[in-house]
Amino acid sequence: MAKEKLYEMVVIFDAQGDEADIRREIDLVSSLVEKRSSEFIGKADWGLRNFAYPIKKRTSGQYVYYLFRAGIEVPALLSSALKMDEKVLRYLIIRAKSNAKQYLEDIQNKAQPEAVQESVEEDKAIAESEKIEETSTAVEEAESATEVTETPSDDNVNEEGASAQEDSEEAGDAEGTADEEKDSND
Amino acid sequence: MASKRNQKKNKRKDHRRHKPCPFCTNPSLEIDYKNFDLLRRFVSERGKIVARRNSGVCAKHQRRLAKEIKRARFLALIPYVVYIYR
Repeated sequence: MAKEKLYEMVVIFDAQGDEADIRREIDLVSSLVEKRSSEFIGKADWGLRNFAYPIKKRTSGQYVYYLFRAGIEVPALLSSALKMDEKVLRYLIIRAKSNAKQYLEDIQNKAQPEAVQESVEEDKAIAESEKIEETSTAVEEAESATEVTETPSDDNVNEEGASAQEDSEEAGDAEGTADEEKDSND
Repeated sequence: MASKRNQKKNKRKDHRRHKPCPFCTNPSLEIDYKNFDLLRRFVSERGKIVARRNSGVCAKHQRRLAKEIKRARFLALIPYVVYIYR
């Protein structure tokens, strides 16, 4: 067998039409990946997300993330199959980093127990904000304040497609103020 | 006297020192297109990638950052351009 490598793939499905159709399409692609890959590690549904810009006149799509180990010829095969598929708006196949498995596990654990998920997110947010406070210098105080407010949204956005746009707007605003400050510092 | 002058010189040097790279100081921050809320902090109001002389990111991390921002843009997770009307 030829060389095998760890790949990750994100596929954006057309969300127009029946939900059953979309599900079927996702299963079809999943089975294709399972067939081609030597080891199918898993997939994660990112859900329906709004696009940052329209793709083929669509404003939203269903994002699905796949992680698998396969021979080096497989990405090209998958790519040609996905190109033919009209229900696939866009796809990205890249070599996965070593921590991709951890990411998949995290996202799958999050998706299951809802009550646990919230507390974990809170802990994470607190931990991250603390870290950021440690690293930021006095000059960047204002900047770090915007960072702290942004960090909790990191966790939420991955699953909650609907609230993504609101978050992005907020992040955009905060970003803007941070930029202005940078300018004034210069 | 000379030592004082040196101190002064050093002070000035310190003052001009580059901002520390946020990714070097905090290794838990992961540069990844999936982590696009983090990437958004390194993109301007108009959606452009912020120069590292402004953001303080080191060369190594700026290269990775640029790559991941472009991946996130491709997947429509963050915009290529943001139009601002006045």
